[in-house]
Amino acid sequence: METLLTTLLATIHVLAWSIYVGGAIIMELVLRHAQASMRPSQVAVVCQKAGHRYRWWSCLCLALLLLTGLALARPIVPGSPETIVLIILGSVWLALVLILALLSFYIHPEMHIRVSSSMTEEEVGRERQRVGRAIVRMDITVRIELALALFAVLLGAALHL
Amino acid sequence: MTGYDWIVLTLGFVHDLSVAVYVGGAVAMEFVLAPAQASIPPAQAQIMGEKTSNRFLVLVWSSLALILITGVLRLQMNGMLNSDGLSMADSYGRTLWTMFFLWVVLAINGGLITFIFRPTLQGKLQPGSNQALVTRDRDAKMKAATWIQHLTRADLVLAIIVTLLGASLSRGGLF
Repeated sequence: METLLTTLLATIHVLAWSIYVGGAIIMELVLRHAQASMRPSQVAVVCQKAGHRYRWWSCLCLALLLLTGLALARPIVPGSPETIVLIILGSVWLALVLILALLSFYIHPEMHIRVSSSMTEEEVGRERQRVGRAIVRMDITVRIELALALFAVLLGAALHL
Repeated sequence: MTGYDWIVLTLGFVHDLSVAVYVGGAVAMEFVLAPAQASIPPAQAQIMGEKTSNRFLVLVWSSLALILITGVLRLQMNGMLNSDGLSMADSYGRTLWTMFFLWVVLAINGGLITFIFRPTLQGKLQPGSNQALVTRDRDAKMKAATWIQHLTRADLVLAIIVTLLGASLSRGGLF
């Protein structure tokens, strides 16, 4: 019974990082590719919808990773290679949580264009530039997120050596 | 770390990444991109659907190939690629063979989608086709789209089962 429970927890753990990392790769390699052939107005709609959904999935996955990771944790031997890898993995997890919070509460909201009919052409131009800078920030942040996620997979593989 | 350790680490990393691309990619396509696609006009949604599906199929086939290759190599490096490691008499062997069987099913489903149903969906009518041909073509496309939907959902369920089996291997197998 205990083995079955451990296996189920391990399965949830694997699914959580698979969905997190796989989702990030799909957003980078599949969605970006499709965006190149879409109209800019449609790109904005799709990115907003997809980004919003993926954020919720990321949140769920990071929470499950923490819970199942703690449940599956073996006794720590201070200074052992496994402990060092676990500490680094925990730090990467924390960094990913911070990135998710940054994207959710600052970067994505900044990407919404705020144009009103009373604005002058100059003001509209400045607003578009502001959104353009927010998009560049988002691009850099999600690529850092992807790099960290891939690094976490490498660390996870190291734990099974 | 020795050279052997680096090889084992690399194989583990590539294997895990391929699993993530397959399983996580399937979830993202179904629950993130598909709903986003539904929020734009049908003509644009079709273009987006074609582009995302084409790219995702490349990732899927790459993942399936790498999962098999790295899986076999890892077994060999652990000394399990022999009659003892692959024996159906113990739980580890039975679990491993079940995983391989499910991999074959996933590959067959992928083949059906790639070589039969998607070409049907992408097929174009000849100019001047009569009404009967147009109706037949439309019906064939709808059936192909339905089959693709069913197969991709079945693949997602199977992939989750394979993940469960894989997670059980370090504990000696599932059954």
